[in-house]
Amino acid sequence: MSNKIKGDKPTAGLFKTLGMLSELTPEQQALIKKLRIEGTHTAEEWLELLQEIVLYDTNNDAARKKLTNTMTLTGILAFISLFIIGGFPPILFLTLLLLLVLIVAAVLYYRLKGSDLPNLLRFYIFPLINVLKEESQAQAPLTIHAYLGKKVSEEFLVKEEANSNRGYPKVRTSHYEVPFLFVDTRLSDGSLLSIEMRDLIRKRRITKRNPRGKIKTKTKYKIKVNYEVRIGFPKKTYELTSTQAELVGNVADKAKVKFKENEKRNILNIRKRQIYTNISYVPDITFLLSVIADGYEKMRQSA
Amino acid sequence: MKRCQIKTGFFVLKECGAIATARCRSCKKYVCEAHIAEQGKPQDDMAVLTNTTTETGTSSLRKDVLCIECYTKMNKEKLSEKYHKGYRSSTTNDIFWYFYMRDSFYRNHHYQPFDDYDTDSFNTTSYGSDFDDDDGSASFYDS
Ligand SMILES: [Zn+2]
Ligand SMILES: [Zn+2]
Repeated sequence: MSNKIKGDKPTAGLFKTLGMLSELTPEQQALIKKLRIEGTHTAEEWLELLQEIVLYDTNNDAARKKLTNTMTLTGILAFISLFIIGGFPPILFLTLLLLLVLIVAAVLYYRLKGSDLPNLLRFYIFPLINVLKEESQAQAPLTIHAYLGKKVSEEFLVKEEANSNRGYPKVRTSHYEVPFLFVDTRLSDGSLLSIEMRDLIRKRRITKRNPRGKIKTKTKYKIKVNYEVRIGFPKKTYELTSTQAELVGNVADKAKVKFKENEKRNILNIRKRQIYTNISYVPDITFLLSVIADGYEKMRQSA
Repeated sequence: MKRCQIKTGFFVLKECGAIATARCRSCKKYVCEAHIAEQGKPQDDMAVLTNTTTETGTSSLRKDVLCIECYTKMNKEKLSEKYHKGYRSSTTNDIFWYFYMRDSFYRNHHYQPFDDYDTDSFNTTSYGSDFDDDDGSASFYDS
């Protein structure tokens, strides 16, 4: 029975993990290389495409952890052996052997590091597809555009400014805008759903001089994750629970709601944001679901 | 032939409807293979299976199973330990996470899903046009 709770321990060893990469399809390898997901498939097809990548990534993370341990251990032992050489010269062979292991481990580590994927795929996009799969008909097309690469990079730089202080502290502030996820699909209740997520990143490099004249630099981040969720509810199925005027504007918990309608649909546009200070954060999937739920809560079944 | 009665979906619940192979020992719902969360040892299974077959003469539904909904309710702590940080599996279909997450979401957000799939209004055929284009894609950079 495959449903049993398992520890999800990666099963492949180090060398098998290295081999796994070459066994991936060209589409899967391109995804890892470009760090972009782009296309339209059914949810089931997406899961199939991403499953092996996710499995590879899990094994990659585990293998690198092991290599880090190996490098630490051999490093320490090699260092200790240096002190023994004086009293017992043959130990030099052991020292060299340890260094060799250390070098091999380091090479393998960087090879694996090169094809590592951010946790955004494993811990966010993947479960999100799982949720959408349960929410839509088997053949429903699901469009995904996702960027998995580095967010703090020239490509996304919006503006940069330094404070005018002649002395310390010197502060250089850079702003980045990174659209990293777009999802578009049709749910099984006939609703159209589109999700856009973008990070507005403020990076501050603060250079300070302490009273003893030592100069220190710190980097701090503030990330505003902007959610824009658009849901087109079919009028055939749903009607609004309140008047349009009550619906829009700033509602509680800082969501901004806009309303539009056409012949067939009531369309809600909901914006919300979440703040993080860790640049390698993984967004919280229940937050996104709560934004969608905000939309559903404004609907009731048509009479 | 019985159909699985487990509710799938998040915002709109609907019955799974796959062919049931068991009946939950706790809630008595019919359950398909995918929504069985826990079952007795294989030999016990066989015993129950044979009994059922002779009893009814028709179906061979196993009875010593627990459905995913009941399992989630009975194992909240164990599941929250595993998933408090979110989805951490490397399998395609971690239904334990899904049902645990859904359960706690409904509770924490006081969310009441639509649950009326058998009425006509939810029977979707094809809806034609997509969204009208609006200003939705405009930048909202305002740091
Ligand atoms: Zn049950
Ligand atoms: Zn089922």
